[in-house]
Amino acid sequence: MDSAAFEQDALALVDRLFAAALRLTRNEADAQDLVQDTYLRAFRSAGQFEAGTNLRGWMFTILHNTFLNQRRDRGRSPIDADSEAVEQAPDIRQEAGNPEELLLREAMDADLQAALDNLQPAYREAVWLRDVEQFTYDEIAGIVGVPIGTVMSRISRGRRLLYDDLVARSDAYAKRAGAGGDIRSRRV
Amino acid sequence: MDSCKDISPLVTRVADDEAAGAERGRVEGHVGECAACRVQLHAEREARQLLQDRSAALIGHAPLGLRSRCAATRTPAAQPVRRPLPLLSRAGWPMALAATLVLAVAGSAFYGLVVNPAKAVAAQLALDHLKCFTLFEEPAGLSPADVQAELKARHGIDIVLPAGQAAEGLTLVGGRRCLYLDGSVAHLLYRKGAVQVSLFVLPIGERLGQTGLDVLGHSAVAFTKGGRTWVALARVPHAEMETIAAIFGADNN
Repeated sequence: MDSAAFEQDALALVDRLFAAALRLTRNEADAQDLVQDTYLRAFRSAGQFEAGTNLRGWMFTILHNTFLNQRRDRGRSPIDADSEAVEQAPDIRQEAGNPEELLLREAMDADLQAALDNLQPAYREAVWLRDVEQFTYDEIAGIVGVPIGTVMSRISRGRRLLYDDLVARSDAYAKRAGAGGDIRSRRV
Repeated sequence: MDSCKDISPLVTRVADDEAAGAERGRVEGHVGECAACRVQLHAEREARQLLQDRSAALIGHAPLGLRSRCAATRTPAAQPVRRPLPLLSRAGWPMALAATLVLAVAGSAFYGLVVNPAKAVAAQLALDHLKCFTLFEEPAGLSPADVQAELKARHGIDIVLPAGQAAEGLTLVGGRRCLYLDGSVAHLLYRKGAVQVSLFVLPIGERLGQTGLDVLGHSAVAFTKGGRTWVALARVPHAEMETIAAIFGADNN
């Protein structure tokens, strides 16, 4: 793969990498730093990437490792406390739909975001890579650097925690609305 | 009937439609008898389906400008580096800086340009100055002592922050470790009225090579104290930058 094609393909992943970075850092400014550092490292290591192999998996692996390095080096330092105040909400695209659907989508997306953020980082990352990014178990094991059995147990546990959280939110929503409802009925 | 422990790893595969034949049959037989595993399978399917349905919205779009900032990181370090030039890979230079300069020099040979290493470093610092002041909120009541202690504790950067600038109208508004140059540079952020001022502290033994230069619309002034090179940088005329740098350097020069 020539360098121009490599760069173009890598940069096409910026939305996905930023979304994953946001889930890892839960902070938009730190997520931007993480993505930029990921690209810096990726471009610096471009010669090590084998054309025809899984660029998306390669980039996510760099993202994961860069996040671990940054977290180890920076921690939740008061020095970086300025970045904590930055708003966390990503720029979510809104699809067309009637007002009720849009309202439900917004409510569900907010609940989903909150439920995802409530997960422990290892569960959140495994569920995100599997269900949002559609990576295989093997690919996730390679990205995260853990055995496939651990990946599967994290996915299983993470999904269950997510489901239970959403059910609790749905129950609270139903009580406020004075009507029954589960997470399926709210899916739009 | 299989035990729940035996079935558990297979439930995820069934929820993902990855299991077939006997494997699927074992799970279906088990969940027909076991309410707990039935609920687990239902929960996994629901969560998976919901996330897949909303994946486009969850991924969304990166903030404006992030793509171009990421693209900017490819120059000049984007090209594969086979072997650094010995002159510039000497021990002591941070790896990122070395790679940057190696490629800048290699590029200059091709295009007939002459690289100015001091300007290359100053350009990196100017970019970091812009990025940090753009991205990060300014906290109130930041103590120089806290920043100093955290730089040492978290990053091993042992420096004594300048003191007494408040009297000159300079307020410390942030401190970070610069992501460039392998994270070995301290970046202190100040305000002087509406002017955003950065003070970078290079690792011991590193020099900028010039005491003053202009880059990317910013003025940079380097000075030495405590065995380190300090670089003050802001978007002000060079004479004003000299004055600001003198404030930083005045207390223990």
